[in-house]
Amino acid sequence: MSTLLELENITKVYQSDQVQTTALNSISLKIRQGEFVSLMGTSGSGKSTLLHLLGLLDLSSSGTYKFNNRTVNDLTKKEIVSLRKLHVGFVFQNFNLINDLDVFENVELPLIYLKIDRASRKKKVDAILDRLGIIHKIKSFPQQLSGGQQQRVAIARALITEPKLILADEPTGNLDSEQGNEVMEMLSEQNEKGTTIVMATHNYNDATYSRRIIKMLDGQLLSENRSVNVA
Amino acid sequence: MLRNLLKYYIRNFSKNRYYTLINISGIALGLAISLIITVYLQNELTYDEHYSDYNRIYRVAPFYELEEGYLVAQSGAGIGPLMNEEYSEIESYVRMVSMGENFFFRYKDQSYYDDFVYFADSTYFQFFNSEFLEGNADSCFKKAQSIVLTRSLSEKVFGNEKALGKVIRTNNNFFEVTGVIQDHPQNTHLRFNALLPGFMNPISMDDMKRSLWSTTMFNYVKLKGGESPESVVNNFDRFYNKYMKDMGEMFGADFAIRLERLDDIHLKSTAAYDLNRGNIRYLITFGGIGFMILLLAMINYVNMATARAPARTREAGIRKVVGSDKKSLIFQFLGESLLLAFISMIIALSIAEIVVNTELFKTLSQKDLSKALFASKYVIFGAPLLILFVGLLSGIYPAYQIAKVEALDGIFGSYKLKKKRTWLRTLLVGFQITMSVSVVVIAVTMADQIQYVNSKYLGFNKEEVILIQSQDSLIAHDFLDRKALLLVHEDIKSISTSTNTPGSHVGRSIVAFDENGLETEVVDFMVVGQDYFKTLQIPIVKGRAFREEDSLSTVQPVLVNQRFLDVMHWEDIEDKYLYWAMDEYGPTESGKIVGVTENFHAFSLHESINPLVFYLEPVPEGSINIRINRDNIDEVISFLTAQWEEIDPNHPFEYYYLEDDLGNLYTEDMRLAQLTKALTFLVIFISILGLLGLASFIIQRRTKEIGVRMVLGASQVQVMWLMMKQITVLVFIASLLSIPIANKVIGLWLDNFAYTTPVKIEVFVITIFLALVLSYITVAYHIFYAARANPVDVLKYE
Repeated sequence: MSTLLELENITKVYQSDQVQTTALNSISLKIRQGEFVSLMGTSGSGKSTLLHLLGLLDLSSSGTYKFNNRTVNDLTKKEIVSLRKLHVGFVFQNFNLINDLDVFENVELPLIYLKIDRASRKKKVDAILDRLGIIHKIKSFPQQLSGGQQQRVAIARALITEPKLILADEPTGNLDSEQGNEVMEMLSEQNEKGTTIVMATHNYNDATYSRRIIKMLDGQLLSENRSVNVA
Repeated sequence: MLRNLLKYYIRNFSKNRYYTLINISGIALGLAISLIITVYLQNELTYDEHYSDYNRIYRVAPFYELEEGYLVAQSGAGIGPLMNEEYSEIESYVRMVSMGENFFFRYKDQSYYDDFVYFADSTYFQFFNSEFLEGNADSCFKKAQSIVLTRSLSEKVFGNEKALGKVIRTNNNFFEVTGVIQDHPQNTHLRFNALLPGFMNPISMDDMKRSLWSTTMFNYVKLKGGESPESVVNNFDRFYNKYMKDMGEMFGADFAIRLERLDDIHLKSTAAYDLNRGNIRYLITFGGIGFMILLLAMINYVNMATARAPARTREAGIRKVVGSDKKSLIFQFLGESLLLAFISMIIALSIAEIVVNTELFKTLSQKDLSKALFASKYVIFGAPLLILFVGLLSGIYPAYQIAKVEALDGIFGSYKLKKKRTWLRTLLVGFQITMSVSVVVIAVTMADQIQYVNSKYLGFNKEEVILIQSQDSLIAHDFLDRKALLLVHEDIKSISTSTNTPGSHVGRSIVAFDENGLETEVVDFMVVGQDYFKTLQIPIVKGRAFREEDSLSTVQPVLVNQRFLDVMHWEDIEDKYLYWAMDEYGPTESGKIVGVTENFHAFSLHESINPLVFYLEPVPEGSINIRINRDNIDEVISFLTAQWEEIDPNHPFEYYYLEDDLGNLYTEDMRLAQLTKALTFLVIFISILGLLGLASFIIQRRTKEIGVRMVLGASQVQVMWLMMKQITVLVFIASLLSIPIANKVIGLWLDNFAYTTPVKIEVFVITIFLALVLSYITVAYHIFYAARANPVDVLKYE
């Protein structure tokens, strides 16, 4: 498997007024295409920051990041946006659906930004909603759905563009255990199809779905396990 | 994509009904005002453009120079024909003379009076093209005893019958109706109801030359195509030298002309002795107010949209995460403001159409614009442009603020409008408050000034004087022969006559103080009968008034006003004589000054008191002035009517009160004051909307602070005061800034008056106080509601 994501000495420092916070401290990491990686750590360990960097939502303060062999530091803002919308899907803890759009419209949104025609959009959205068992809620609005249903819609939105990489930030954080397991099954299934998944979590149960668990503390990589058993 | 966006916008609007309603109300009102003002301005700015040769027609306005310069609208009978002969640039000319007020005529057994009857050169309809409904332009003035009526007058006299060929009678004449023309459009500077052919008898050259120095009629010339007025004006010296120099040297006066293009007369002419004109200052004021109201409404939109920006940034963040770029977001949010502007425009067009059809609007504007709105090309083409202007200008700043948020900041709610950016919002609301307070102060001061001019003592007693217009001096003479009988009535105090009354146009001429007419002065004059000063209760401060025996005296007595003495630097009137009625040899009339009146306002309070001379004429044509006891008005009128009918059963007895006539002098000013008052309420309403938006923003920004303070023990009152303080400082400072603005603007209007009431400081103080109170009332609900909230809920919001 080829390397999809490669970080070398990545540091991220946040500066606000008088305070400087080092969220990531000289991190080097490689993630191959098709891997399912969990980032584990307490609040403030830097796992969300690392996830945002990987997903091209933020830029490092120093170091080199290569996405699919392209050095992100060399890209323009427009190229970064283009890369992200083609290859990256996001799943968040609080779903981040747009309340004024119904299920169909939320899921088709990435396709609109890729300028896919209307007929093709409808076909793809119907297919993915059917696959994820949420097609019967196609005209509902987010506030009319349960947590689990909302997260399924968010996953559908993340998958609709068939991205190379899915980034999930505490995807089961706002769900009960049954709903959480359903979501993890979906992600696992997607990974088996070849999609690379990087997930930030502090839930051990969720982490067992992945094959590689990286522990983080204070912005640094602490340790790494390649088996499903967590010490 | 567009379909999706439209669905999204409509959902958004209905979800946020409160903000949508406020925005649409404000912008629709602003647009409605803009549309109304557009058609009003279009009407005002296109006066006389319906005449096909309007850009070649000029009015000849003489400029007399005698110590001071005087530009007047009227000139003498010889101007048109002699200039036409003298200048090859001139194609033709036309003269027009008013028949005065209350032109009387009869048809069958009905009597009519009309104030808008003129006579003109028979070439009038070749000069000013008109639409003939009956008859035609070529034949209507072939006969001297012809008359052309407008459609309205024809319908009034003849109903639905054809008017052509019918005969109407005046006191001494009859006229055949030889044409009926369509009513003049409203935006015509000189409108008549009937026109008679005049100047049929030739005038001698001497008479024409003498007439060049008089101001008795309107002269128009039409230039040939391609000719410029400058070539006539700059070469006027040769005309002057040929026809006017002799008398000019005698008067010690200079004479020049201005050529006023026809379509410029209404708004740009400054000539005296003119018909009612528009006022470019008022148009600028209306345009300015209209623009300001629209601007205030747009400011509201900007403020409310940016206040809601944090709530919208989450959505913006999500869209960026799933692939949107900044440009797409700007497009999306601008589309929202454009749609809002579009909806507002639909409502605005409806509001405007309703308003222009109301009687109130027609009265205030003195125009019927009921068909003008959708017929106006400025509205048809301007409306889409206005939608773009309002939508883009209002929407661009909030759209940019929301679209520039980084994806992560948006979805995690860490976007906060930087503190330095909030000054803009505060500034905008402050601007709204400044404008509101200014407009209120201006409206109140205008009302004050109107009250002042209507109640100021004018130097004579205007109350309880009725006026009867007498066009026929024989009838007036007969009436006055009964003076002794009339005065027996206990409720009739005094009777006199005059050529004009205070407030109407007083004559202006040159008088000399020496027999040879070498020392001259330009003065106003009135021709009055005996007892004039008694009837109007004008005090005599030196000498005496006219007496009965003066009419038999060999030496004509004249009176002057105190101002005349001041200008001449005379202490007394002993052995003082005046000379007037100049011809090329000098003054032809003379008189001895026998009395001095106290200064009084012969004109409106727009003008200061000029030197005034009174000539005696036992029965001058003009008006009969009668001082009565108003308590018994019915009986007095019955008595006078009976007396009048014995003398002239053919003319109905018509009268009006002098004070009503004087009140009409300020009609334009009162209209402007009423319009300003109406617009003031709109400005205040829109500013209240702005304050509501600001209150909403303040609360949003300080929600966490409110929660923390309440958890720490702050009471509701303390929390409320914390937020009210911000509003108080803003309203107070913004109100103070209104003082110089209001002063400047009201000063420009008061400059129209020679006599004004001072701008009162208490008006400012009370208005500022009321602005504070209104602000508190407006925002109190929001702030009270926020202060009452459970601190836990408030903190959870974060």
